[in-house]
Amino acid sequence: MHRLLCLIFVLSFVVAAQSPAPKRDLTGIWEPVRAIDGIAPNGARNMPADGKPEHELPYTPFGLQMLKKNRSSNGPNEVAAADENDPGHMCDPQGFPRENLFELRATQFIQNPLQTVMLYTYGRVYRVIWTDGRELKQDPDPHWFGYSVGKWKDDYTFVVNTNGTDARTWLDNAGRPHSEDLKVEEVFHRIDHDKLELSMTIDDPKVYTKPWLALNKIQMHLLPANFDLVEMMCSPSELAEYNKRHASGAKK
Amino acid sequence: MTNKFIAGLSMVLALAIAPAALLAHHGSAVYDTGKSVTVKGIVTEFLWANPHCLLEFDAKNEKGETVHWTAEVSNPPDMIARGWNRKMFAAGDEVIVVMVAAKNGEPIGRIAQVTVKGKTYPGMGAVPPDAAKK
Repeated sequence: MHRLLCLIFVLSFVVAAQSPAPKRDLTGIWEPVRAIDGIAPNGARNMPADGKPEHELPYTPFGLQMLKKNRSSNGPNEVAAADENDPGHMCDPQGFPRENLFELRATQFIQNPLQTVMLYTYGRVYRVIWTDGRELKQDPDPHWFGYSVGKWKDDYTFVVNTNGTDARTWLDNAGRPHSEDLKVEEVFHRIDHDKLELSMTIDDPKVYTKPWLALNKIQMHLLPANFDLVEMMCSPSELAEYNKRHASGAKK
Repeated sequence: MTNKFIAGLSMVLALAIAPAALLAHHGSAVYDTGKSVTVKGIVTEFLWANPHCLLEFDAKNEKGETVHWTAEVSNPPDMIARGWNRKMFAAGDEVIVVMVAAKNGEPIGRIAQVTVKGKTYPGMGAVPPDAAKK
């Protein structure tokens, strides 16, 4: 029985891969091919906080001040879990763009003529991306997940611009900061029926002297339509229990 | 049946090509990751929770005293992909736990591998090289 299921599973992927991708359509459940590209514990996958000079971000003096206030339990200056001040690990909404830069797992895209909606595994949160032709707001109120508009650059390239993010959130799991002036560009490029690339650029002149590429064409693949998204929530009571039983005793 | 099989296979495939040592919410700052500790003990409680599942167990030290250990692995979705489930440990089960331990000497660890009811499961992160010698 398992052999038959394996054969059906493999054949379904072969058939799907050979069929053309639908135009201007990201509908489906997409997941990073390499789990580590989405989980990214050491920060933005293309610029991890690993101490390498080529991954140093172009901070402004103000950006450096912000960075020094963030105590992360990951990266070259990591602290014990009990000593961190990561708002996401305290169960604040991790917000955008961190939702793409940490714990990006199976993500469902739902489309209608006006919107593309992304349903994320981590935190069971969603984002609405307006596709009705509107522009970004000029002076948006800050929101945990910002304000997003998307346009199809061509039949297989969907470009999303976001502003109005909340400066209380961290950019990534390494504690990189951002201001309310942050602008993010995501590029979803559909390679074929079951392959998608995601790139993301960070532009925040208050914090960084120039835009930088946080994701560089990470590979995502289409999961079966009946894939069950697994619940993965930050629960304050569970976190308190973890800190009481484990993290507080393991402090350096 | 088919759905669970395909979903499970997809997760296993995705995790199989990820560097296991990096699947973590929190870093390794508190652990001595250069050496392993292998402890045989009796389970007192298993917490199937975020951000990390916790296995609590009692073990005897060299002096014959009972020491209460708390050891973590990753979150439930990651551990499901490694064959774990929330009912795999019950109070009273004997376990053999291979882990990295806290630098401060407290009986706190991160499980690299665990054996229960005759079956061995991968934990969170690589098994330290010296564990194979024990």
